[in-house]
Amino acid sequence: MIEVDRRRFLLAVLAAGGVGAIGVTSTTGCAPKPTLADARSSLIGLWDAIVPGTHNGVVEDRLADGRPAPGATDAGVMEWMESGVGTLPPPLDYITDWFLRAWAADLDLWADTFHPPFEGAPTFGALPLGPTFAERGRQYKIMLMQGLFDGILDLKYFGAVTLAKLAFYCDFRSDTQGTPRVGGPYIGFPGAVGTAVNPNFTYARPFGTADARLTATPGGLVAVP
Amino acid sequence: MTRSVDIAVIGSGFGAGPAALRSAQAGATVAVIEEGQRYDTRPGAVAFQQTQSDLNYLLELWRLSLGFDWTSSTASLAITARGLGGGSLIYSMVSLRAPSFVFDDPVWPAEIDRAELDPYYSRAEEQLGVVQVSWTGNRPDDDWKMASKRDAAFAIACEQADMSCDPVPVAVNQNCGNLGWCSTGCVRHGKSSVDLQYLQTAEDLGAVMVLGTRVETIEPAGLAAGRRWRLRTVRTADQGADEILADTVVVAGGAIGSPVVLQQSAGTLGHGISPQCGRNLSRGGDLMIPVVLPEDFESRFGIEMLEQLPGKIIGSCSFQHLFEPPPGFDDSWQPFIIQPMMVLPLLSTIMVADPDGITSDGGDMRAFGLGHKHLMQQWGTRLLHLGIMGVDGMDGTVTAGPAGTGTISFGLAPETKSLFAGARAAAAHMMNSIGGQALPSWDQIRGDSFTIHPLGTCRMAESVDLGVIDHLGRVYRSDGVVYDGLYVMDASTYSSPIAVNTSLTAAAISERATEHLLAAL
Repeated sequence: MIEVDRRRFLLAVLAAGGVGAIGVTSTTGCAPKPTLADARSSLIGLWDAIVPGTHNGVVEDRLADGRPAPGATDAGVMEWMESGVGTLPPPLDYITDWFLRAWAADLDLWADTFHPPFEGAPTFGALPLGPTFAERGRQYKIMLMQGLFDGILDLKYFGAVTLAKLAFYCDFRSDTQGTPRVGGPYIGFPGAVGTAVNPNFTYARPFGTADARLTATPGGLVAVP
Repeated sequence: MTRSVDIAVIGSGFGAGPAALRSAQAGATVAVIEEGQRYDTRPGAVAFQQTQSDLNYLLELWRLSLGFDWTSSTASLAITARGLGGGSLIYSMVSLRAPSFVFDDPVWPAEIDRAELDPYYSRAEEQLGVVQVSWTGNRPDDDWKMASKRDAAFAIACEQADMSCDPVPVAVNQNCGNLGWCSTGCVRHGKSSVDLQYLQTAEDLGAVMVLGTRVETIEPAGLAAGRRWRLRTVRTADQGADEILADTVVVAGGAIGSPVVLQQSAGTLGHGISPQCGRNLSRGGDLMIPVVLPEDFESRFGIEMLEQLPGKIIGSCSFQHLFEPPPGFDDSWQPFIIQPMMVLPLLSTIMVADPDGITSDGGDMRAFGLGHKHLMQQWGTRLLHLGIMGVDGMDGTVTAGPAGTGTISFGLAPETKSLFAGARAAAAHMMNSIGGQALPSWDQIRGDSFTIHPLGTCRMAESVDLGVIDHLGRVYRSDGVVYDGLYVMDASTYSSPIAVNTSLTAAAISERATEHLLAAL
């Protein structure tokens, strides 16, 4: 079990430059592969896990014959990722390049190695996750990496939104597979609600105590004096 | 392509709308320059999508301004909007006049106070179609202006804590279907936004909407051009313009956009700008505190079902702590309001964490994962988000970044710390009163700062040493003289935080400044 302070880890990688990759490799046993082409299938799987494919709100898994479902290829995921690697300013370009390669090199090893921030807990790979999460090489690694690497690649916020999107995808998957859903139903998430008027949103009776210190505008609107 | 007009308005939100409409009504030729696209009801408009499944749509509609501190591993974030109508496309519609006391801050020019602004508030309320939310009405005819069950739950919690709660004025119309998706754009156009209430009328009077265009710099046009100012622009979409000539320029890009335009123009305007430009960024006191209502809330208070999502994004407010300190604080507290907010479900699930940490079966409730899943099962519809707005320390900055973006950075001034501490004390008091639980907020979990109500970066003041513009919105040169025909009108002009939602005050200040602008022509 290894604990990682993500800030120190990132700063160490930044400070060490090219040596950083070696250092990380020695820590994790994760050997970056020489080209992105080698990582292509893993990256497709990664993107397929994050982004709904053809904008239909549902992420497809691999097809029965093992090929990636249309989502990844239709969206031009690999082209986007590969083009993005070379356009970020340094040192993010290096980190990005390394990051994607390292990620793709052995996703499962990351998950089986880390579970910050405390000792004695199971790794992500060993957690009793539902089928969606537990599928190797998929969502739980994203959560793991989100926790380790927030701050770079805009993952902290763009990624957070994406991650939440993933959560609702997981809801869908869990629902269809008979396992408990994650977030939506428990906070009243109604799904895409369309444009119809909602007929049941109020109790239509007074509540609370009005503040006598407030005033009203000439038009009868509540106003602070 | 070169376009020549009397008045060019940069931006299309609450500051821009009054400037464009009143100028067009006065017979001036007007161009409104907007970086985003059109979402209104007119030909060529893009449809709002009430869905969270298209990330690209939200990233197009929301403008995210970021800054990251590598030393502390924390981020600063501002969420604004991009599109014709500016922030009104995603705002909560709450339309409150600023309290009188905020204008006691000595940085405000002597000419500006609540009494001075009241007529302009009225004008803005009328134009925006602001109505008073109420608890009751004749159903279903009055449903569009009634408070939600989320507001009812909040009012009950306030009452149990001896806190007041009142329905608020909101800018909605009869198209409102109480869907609760106001922050992703209203597909029914039930939200009274600037594009619908101001800009369509301005357009009918001849104003031109220049979309897909970002202003890079403002510079003197020279005598040969026949106009006072030249705007250098870049196209963000095919329909953009390359150059706009105008006698008068109104910068109304919001508290992130306006200082960026002025900073980029500091070397081209000819006489510099105030060093205060981009400083004094206030988050408007924004803080989101998640709370969990007690398990027996429904049975104790006769709430048969707590449906949090339907209804307007905000329909009520506790003004209690504008008037008196929260528990444990003395008379020097930082004033604030509390509003129960509808938060997008996707954000709601990732903005909460259990302070107690670890579950008995190995789940970590402090991060997204299995423990989080357990939390959401446990809390369910009892999870509420309290939106705080108040008087903070104006401890942020905006600096021009690449491609016209603003890079922001927040500090944590003593006033801001005090404000947040007071708000947490009030939330804890409220939850303790009913047996609920106040949860840590995002800044406590991650150390980050965020705002959806940025203000103050081009603040008005009596002199160039203190502010960027005078009380009429005219931009100071670095020598303290004002530029002819160069104005700022938006929330960036506030000299101090106003402790309530910012949209109506931006419109009122713009109404006032435009009146003086037109009188001076």
